[in-house]
Amino acid sequence: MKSAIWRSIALSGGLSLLAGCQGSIGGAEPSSAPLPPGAAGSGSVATPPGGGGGATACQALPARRIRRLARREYANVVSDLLGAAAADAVLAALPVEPRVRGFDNQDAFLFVSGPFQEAVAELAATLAAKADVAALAPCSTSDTQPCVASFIRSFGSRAYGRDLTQDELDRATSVAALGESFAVSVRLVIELVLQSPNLLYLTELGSPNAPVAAQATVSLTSDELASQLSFLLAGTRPDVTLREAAKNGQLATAAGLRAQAERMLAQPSGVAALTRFIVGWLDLGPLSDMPKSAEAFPEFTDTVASAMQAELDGFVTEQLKGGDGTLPSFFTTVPATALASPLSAIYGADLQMSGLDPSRRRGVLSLPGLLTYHSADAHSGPVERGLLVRRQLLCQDVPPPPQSALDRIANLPVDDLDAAHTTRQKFAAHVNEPSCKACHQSFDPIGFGLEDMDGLGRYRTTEHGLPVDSHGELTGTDVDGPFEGPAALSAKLAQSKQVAACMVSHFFELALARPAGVDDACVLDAWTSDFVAGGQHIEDLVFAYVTHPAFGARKDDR
Amino acid sequence: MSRDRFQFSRRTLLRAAGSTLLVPPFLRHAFAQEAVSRPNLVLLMQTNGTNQASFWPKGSTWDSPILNELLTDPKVGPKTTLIKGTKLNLKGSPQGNGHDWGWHSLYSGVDNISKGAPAGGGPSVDQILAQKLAFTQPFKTLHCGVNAANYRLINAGRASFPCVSAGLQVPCELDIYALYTKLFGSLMPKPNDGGQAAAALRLKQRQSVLDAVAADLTTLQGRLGAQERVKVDAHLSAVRDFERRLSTTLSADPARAPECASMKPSKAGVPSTGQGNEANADALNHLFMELIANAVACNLVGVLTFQFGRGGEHFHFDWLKIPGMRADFHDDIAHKDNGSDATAASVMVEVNKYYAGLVTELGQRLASFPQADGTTALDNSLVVWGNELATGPHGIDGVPLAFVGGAAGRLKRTGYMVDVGTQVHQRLGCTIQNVMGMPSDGFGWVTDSGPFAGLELA
Repeated sequence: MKSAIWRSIALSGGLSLLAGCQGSIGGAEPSSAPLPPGAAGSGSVATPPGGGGGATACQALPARRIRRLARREYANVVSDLLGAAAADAVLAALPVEPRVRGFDNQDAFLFVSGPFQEAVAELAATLAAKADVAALAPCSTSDTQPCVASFIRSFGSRAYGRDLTQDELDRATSVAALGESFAVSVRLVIELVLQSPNLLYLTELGSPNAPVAAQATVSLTSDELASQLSFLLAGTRPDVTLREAAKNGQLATAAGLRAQAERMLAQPSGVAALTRFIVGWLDLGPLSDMPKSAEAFPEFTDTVASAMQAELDGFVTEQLKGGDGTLPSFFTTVPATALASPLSAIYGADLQMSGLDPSRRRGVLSLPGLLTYHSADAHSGPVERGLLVRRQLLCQDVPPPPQSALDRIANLPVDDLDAAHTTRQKFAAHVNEPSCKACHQSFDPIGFGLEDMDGLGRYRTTEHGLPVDSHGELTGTDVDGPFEGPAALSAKLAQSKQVAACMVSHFFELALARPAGVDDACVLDAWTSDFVAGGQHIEDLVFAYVTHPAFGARKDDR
Repeated sequence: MSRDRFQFSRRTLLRAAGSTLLVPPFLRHAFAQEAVSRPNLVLLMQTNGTNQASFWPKGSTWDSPILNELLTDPKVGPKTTLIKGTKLNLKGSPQGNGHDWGWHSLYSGVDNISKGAPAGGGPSVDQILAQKLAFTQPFKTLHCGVNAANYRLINAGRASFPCVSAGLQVPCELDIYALYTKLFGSLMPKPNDGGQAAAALRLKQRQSVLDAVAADLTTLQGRLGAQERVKVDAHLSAVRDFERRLSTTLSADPARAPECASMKPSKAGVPSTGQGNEANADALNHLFMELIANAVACNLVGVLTFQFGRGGEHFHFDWLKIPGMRADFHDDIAHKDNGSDATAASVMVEVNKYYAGLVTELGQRLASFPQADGTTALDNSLVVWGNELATGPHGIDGVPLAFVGGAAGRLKRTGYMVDVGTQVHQRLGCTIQNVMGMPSDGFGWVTDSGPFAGLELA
């Protein structure tokens, strides 16, 4: 019943809005765009047996897959194996992958190209040459062969998250045999393991011995389950406890998986994982990378950028650790910024001895860091901010500007340097021109509602000496209505079931490293129902995922 | 260039034969070898289109406000061929806008697809050539660029234009110094710390490691369905290529080996910067032109691809100090160069002159490398200067295209403009394939386009 409700909301609020936008401007590709939560295709949802966490299980399973580790994940594994300095070398040597919809682990953008392979191979050789063999592979006997064999087993299994097959052991032994000394043999094993596909890829394939049966359900191995869990919550291969749990069959049940997830979330790496999710959900990147016009915003110094970043990071961590850890708390909590903050000049009168003015500064959307990141380089960026809410927080997919719209931009330019009008006035063409209005009417009014915050998140009542109009409006959502300023907008979004469903969709993207498709609607519905019923605790997203049957099952793709 | 394929020029062979008609069998074989020789190929990608009125020479003159430096250069101008009338020929209405369309399609010939963001819809010509041809250079392909960094979803695909296959983007290498180490480092004399035997052992060890990696990949490959196997295929191919480079003595142009071994960037300490930070863009652009010329002259790369920024680049070009430049070149100049904004037009011309200057510099550098047979590296190269758009306001009709270099004789004539009306852009890929010795009738989704009409190919 709940699923139907969310689907109804999403369909009426999201897709109908999009249809209007696309119908007017064309050029979109709805079938390839990630779906809003609940936008299921009929026939893709079923009710198979089993299921944990109270969620309904779903028949439409994702296909077997391998996913290359992101640079961050690879560095973490190397750090576990060889130490933090080696991880630094990885981060210095490997290219940064595109951050797609907020996340760095998206399968479609990760593969091993020639340059990447060569970088990994050279890195493996360098790190192997520097490895502390005495510490990694202590050997007290003159017959070093057993020591090499033991090292291959232990090092390899930590790297691959599973025991090595006999073929893999044989190959590594052959490679080690070329070493002119014990130390060199160990280094050669390290060089091999660090560039092996068994380390570089996260597999979702099931047992190698399972018979091929097209479209049949394949169960992931316990080691694969452990790695899935570990890369999500620790960003690396399983620790000893998780490996043991896998070996002992404790991951075969939803309760066992949940117990491990709870254990991992309590660790600093677990909090870091959830923080990474929140940062991706808000589509945030480093503020230091923000291109800001020095003319328009000379106050955006490195010090200010750094302070904004620290405040933003601190707010997110506080909600996850010290706050109630719910989605609404990210919209309703008043930031605990002290008067001595380096951002006092940015906050101005909003920051008093007693703290920030809660009528204006409430929730993450009111933080200068977020308002700076989601704005234009020379002005407040109502389009950027509107799209943040529409696309990222409501998951209503607005297509990129089509050719016809860009032709219009060329003919109806918005002049950043025009000081005779406010930013809002300059964007009036978006509502006057039908070809612009078709899409912009869905997000400009949201951005306009944040016009009382300039491109650095400073409260303002005037712009170029003209009064600022910060009346905004949400439409096509389950919390429609007028608002003024980030606090008022946040209060609405905190009540939105669509926002909750959208957050689930983002979590899906992080957890499965891909956007949700039509076949995933059943899973999304189930998770959303549980998430909302449970009070929208962020941690519950993890529990819903790891205890759902789809966590450990795939469709045979052969 | 004293590569083996250029050891005997046609003229030399004919002179040796003593006749233009009576060619002994062994020399006919040599001719056959020459027939498969190919130029070093460089594909450049510029963004944001050009000012059409100031780009193309008018009438019978070889004069263009934007291209003047290039066309009047005594060495580079005569080796330049302009291709006018190229239309971006899309099959459907792909996601995104002109930036995405041209960025992904110019060198692939197919529409972009959506991977959450517009992404390449198929292999680009550099990757096709790498898969189909037996390159002798240590590196089949290399992709590099300036300021092509890390983007949000909507622009993730614009970080790099070459693709191995649909959606599999070739990462763009940004670190100029790392590239020097990668390309030329292997040519440096190895420290004589262990002698030849030690070096041979180390090579054997590395080969053994790579063989084991390849075996792991092959095992994995056997467990995958067709869709996932593409990933491992690309990985395996990369391992084999790397092993080949390790296994063969990395010989640059033998006549130039010592020179190549000591190739260094002319400027130190210019780090690559992130999206939106153009502090080092100018210095890096020049350093990359130098790198490309050096790599070509030393015959280290089969196909080298380079992007001036990312798709839909937002450089401010502060270093040019152009009068009339506005806050954002992309939005405030390029998009507004629509024929009714004189300031936008004049800035657009200046920016495009800057790019023309870089291409001229590349040509000059190539021309400065004499070859043993009296030609230059420019004679034996084909530099394609392409653009994601025809005009700043997203026009796709009349994409500015220039071929620079003699293409190792594959271009029968240079120093003129092809101007025979509209031609689909798939002819570009088809032309490149044929020039590179891969006979083809079409490219991308147009299987019968043929090469550019009006272009005289040998």
